Amino acid sequence: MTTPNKRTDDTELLHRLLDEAFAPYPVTSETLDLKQEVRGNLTARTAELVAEGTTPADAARRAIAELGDVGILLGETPTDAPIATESWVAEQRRNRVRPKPAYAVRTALLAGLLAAVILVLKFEVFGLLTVAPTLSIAAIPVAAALVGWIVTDALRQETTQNYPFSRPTAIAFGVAAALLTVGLGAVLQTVLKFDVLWILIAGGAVVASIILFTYLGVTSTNRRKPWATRLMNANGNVPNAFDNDQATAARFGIYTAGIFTLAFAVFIVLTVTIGWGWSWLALVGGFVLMLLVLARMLFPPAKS
Amino acid sequence: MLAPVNIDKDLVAAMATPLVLAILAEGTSYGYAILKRVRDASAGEVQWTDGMLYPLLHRLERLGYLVTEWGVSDEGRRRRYYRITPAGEAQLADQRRQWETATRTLGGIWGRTLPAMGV
Repeated sequence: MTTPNKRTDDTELLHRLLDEAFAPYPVTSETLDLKQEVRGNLTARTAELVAEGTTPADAARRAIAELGDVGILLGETPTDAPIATESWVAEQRRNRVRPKPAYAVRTALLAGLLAAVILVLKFEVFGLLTVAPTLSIAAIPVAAALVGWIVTDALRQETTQNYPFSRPTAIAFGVAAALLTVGLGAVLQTVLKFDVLWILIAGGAVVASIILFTYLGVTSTNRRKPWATRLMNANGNVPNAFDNDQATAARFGIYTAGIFTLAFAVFIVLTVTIGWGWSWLALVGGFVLMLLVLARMLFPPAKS
Repeated sequence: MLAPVNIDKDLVAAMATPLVLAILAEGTSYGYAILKRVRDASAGEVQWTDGMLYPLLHRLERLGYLVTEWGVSDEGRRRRYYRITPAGEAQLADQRRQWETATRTLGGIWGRTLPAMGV
């Protein structure tokens, strides 16, 4: 039986869209009452659309679209001036969301397990421990699974400033983090015993991780709660190009994938030809180039 | 089967008050139920949004034609209910007389009786 307060991913979408629709308007008891009343209507309307065959996410968006201009409901215009400022500390205290105890215990256990795996691999790398090759290789997917689980679990939690991600999005972020872990594990294996195959696995896993992270970063909806958005805007939050234009963010992701693909290719060639001594500079160069591209694209110079 | 009718917005605005008061005269109701009643009564030809309904409800409350009270829905959420007042019932009766006069006049000129139009 569903408790009244249990929210599915799609009802979370509805509530988040409603919060965003009311965000530009002053918080008064009248606004809060109307918002609560409208929330009930939207929930019923969404259920009606779902019963007609609309997907839950589309039903939520359509119900919000049918709501129309919240300003008309309130008889107000959105306020452009900063809201009478309450400090961050006071707002944080008022809106505080405590972590769930089960989540805290779960994370502690998983992190402990991950730390143990990393320590074993670290001791092996420094020759302090001898581990069977099979176990050493098996530690990579184990570490990747633990990292993916921790990341997914963390993104599914509501925090004081942010709503949780939807389950599919959180899992996708977990997969991206797991891929990055596989890449790092493959690099470790290369250190233990040089093998071009491990370098290829490392390069492939890291590049795939970057592409996935970029795609998720561009397509994920804003999770920030209205009170945090309001205070950030009131405190002169500097807008950047990625906030205003998703195409710019997508281009950066593609450039990053290209830069690191090239960097890994150069790294492999240099390692094979001149050895480890200088080949790592290719990766450093790729990272520096990515930062320069990021700075240029995130904060483009003002046009004269 | 008649084609869907695109009702002029001035006409929609004119019938909004008597429609809401008539629905509340049937019994205490709440926002979503009022919207659904309008849609069902018009066979889907009149579809209001929250943006149309709530300013009207606030205006009618200011005029004293209805009062609101908070209750609890079946799902356990707080819900605001609207109830017509005696002043609202008087206003409804007056609006009804006006609409009956208008539709009778139009029906006479168009040469069709009200029952034949299905009204």
